[in-house]
Amino acid sequence: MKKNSRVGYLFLAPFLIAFVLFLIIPTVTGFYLSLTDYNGMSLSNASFVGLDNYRAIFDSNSYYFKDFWESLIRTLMYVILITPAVIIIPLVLSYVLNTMNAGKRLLKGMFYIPVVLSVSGIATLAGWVFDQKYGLINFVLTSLGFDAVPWLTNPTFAFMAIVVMTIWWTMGGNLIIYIASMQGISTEMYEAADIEGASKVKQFFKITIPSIRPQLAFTIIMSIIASFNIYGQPAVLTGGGPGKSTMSVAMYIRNTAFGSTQAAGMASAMGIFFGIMLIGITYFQFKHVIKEM
Amino acid sequence: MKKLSVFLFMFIGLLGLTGCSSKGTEVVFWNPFAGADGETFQAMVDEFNDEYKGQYYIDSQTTANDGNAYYDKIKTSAQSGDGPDIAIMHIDQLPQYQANDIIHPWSNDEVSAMSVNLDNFSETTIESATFDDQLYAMPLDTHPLVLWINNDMISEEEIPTNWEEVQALAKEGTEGSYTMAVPSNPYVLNRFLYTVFLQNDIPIVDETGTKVLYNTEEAKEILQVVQDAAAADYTPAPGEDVSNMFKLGEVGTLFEGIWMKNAWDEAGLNTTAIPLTGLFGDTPANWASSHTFVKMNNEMTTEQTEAATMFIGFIEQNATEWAAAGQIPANEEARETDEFKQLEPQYSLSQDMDDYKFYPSVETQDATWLPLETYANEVYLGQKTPEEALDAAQKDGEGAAELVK
Repeated sequence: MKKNSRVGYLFLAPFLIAFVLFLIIPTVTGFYLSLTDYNGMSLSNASFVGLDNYRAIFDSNSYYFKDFWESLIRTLMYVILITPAVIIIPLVLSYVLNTMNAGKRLLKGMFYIPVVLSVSGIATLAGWVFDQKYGLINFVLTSLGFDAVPWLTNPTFAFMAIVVMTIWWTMGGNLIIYIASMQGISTEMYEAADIEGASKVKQFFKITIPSIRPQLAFTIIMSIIASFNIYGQPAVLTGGGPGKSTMSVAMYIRNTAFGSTQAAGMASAMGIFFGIMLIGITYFQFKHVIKEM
Repeated sequence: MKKLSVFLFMFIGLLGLTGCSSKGTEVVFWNPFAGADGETFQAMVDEFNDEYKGQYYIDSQTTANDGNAYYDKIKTSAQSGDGPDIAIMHIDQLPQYQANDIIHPWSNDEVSAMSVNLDNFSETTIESATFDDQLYAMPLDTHPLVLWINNDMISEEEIPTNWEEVQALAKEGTEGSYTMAVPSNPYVLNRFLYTVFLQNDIPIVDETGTKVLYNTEEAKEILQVVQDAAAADYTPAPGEDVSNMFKLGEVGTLFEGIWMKNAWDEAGLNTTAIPLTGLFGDTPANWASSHTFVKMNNEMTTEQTEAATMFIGFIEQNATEWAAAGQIPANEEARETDEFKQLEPQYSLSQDMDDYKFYPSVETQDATWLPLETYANEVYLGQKTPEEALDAAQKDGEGAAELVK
């Protein structure tokens, strides 16, 4: 028994080492820095400031208050718009793809390809698609007699462009999980439902969805966390602009640490606060949402 | 066997400590030169490594500065001790790195070893690279913002020399064949505004580096001109990528950096460029920056310092080669060579060296000036009034400066 558990730990070791090196140590270090006025350049000049950085997050008179909360609310908007789309669209698509015979592999590949590309590649591609003067979308619109749309320089359109790009980029991952899990559902259940006269829509809600609950729960949690951490898409596509209209909280934290304010200690406090918030949201999901599923 | 392993470990460790290898004394060098200028620079590094094969070896590592990634990396590596021995740094970035002890001064002996005469550099350049009477950076080049001209679209007589002619030329533009364009890139627009402000005697920041001085009535008027020009039919619509339009021959002139030279040549454009002095006001001024060589806070051995200074000296002596990538050598000696005199528009632009102005050499330069980049772009897009933009930039700028101080 003892020998077996040793072997178990040995197998776990690579993960545990990486977990400690890349998560535990940076988190503890980040927490320590959040209690200092570290400027990101000189640790020896950093002073201990206690909870001042955390107070600044909630102090409406602080330099950071407005931009931090605005970027957090903006990030919440990203989550609200992106997460349902990257769950529902692949769910429906995978259901349809599973019923298809011809072209299924080709379509699966087409939907999955964006997932394997880097965010820089995807954002550069999106930059070409949404370009005001030479972009694909405006080319189609102007060819049909419509005016060109300032996709990346109008705050609302730029925000939506990032949402659309993120959905296109990430939904393939969930799609593959759903397709695989749907293939595990016994065909006999669908045959019985057919005999009983249940429509395809009814079969989807009564057989498919209940059968893939664990996978759905997993993808919902992961998609929400991923959407909260949105960074590369606005950073590369719009630089957070126009103005600050597409800046996510992760971008704002980076700018606070390395930008003109040189406030890495403050940024660490924001990062810790944001991390705790995400843990809270995930805990709530486990406790109340996932349990129900 | 065990003894052999211990010996090998110690030997490898010793090599690591002394920076020696079969390649010679190794020096790690970081630079932000990606793209066409990166190829030119790497070729120069290779030439040096070939010439000093077995003696010195420069391990040149490039990180493109997209989204400020290069400087983020320098800051983080300086803390972890994983940074380079020497690096390229823009002259306007020096104050904050010097104040935080990330870069170290070059001694007189080290400068001598570079075989460089400091009298050959402009006073402004040396002043901006000097802190506490010590030289912290060896300037390599000067790269100003210029007005690029497509010779196939704009005749020599049409090239503007003052504000009236700029306006007249701009108004000749029509859709598909614009003559002038407001910079659509926020980075370029901010450097353009710096130039226009200085030409109109609008100060940027006070001596303490904490008070923003550019929120003036004159600055509002300038931003209003920018907004009106961007919205006018005779210039590209706000948000259209004017750099791309220039490349495709849809805009006849473009405010851009001198470093775009290779890009225009590769696109097959027939171009020339003029400095901006005189185009917007009476005071001679034109934004520019300079790539400099800095010594990082790594401890270098005597051999490594020797290799580093030899390398910098080699690049300085071959600055004309670097100039071909779209730069003006900071060293006057290089500007006087026959090779450089053949390079156009670099040589013509080098005649205005005294007018090229760097950002203020204060630690809070980014804090006080960068906020305008975000807000001026909104003015250009018609999303903020000049007054709103300048007020917001002043508030952000002074708030950030206070935090940095």
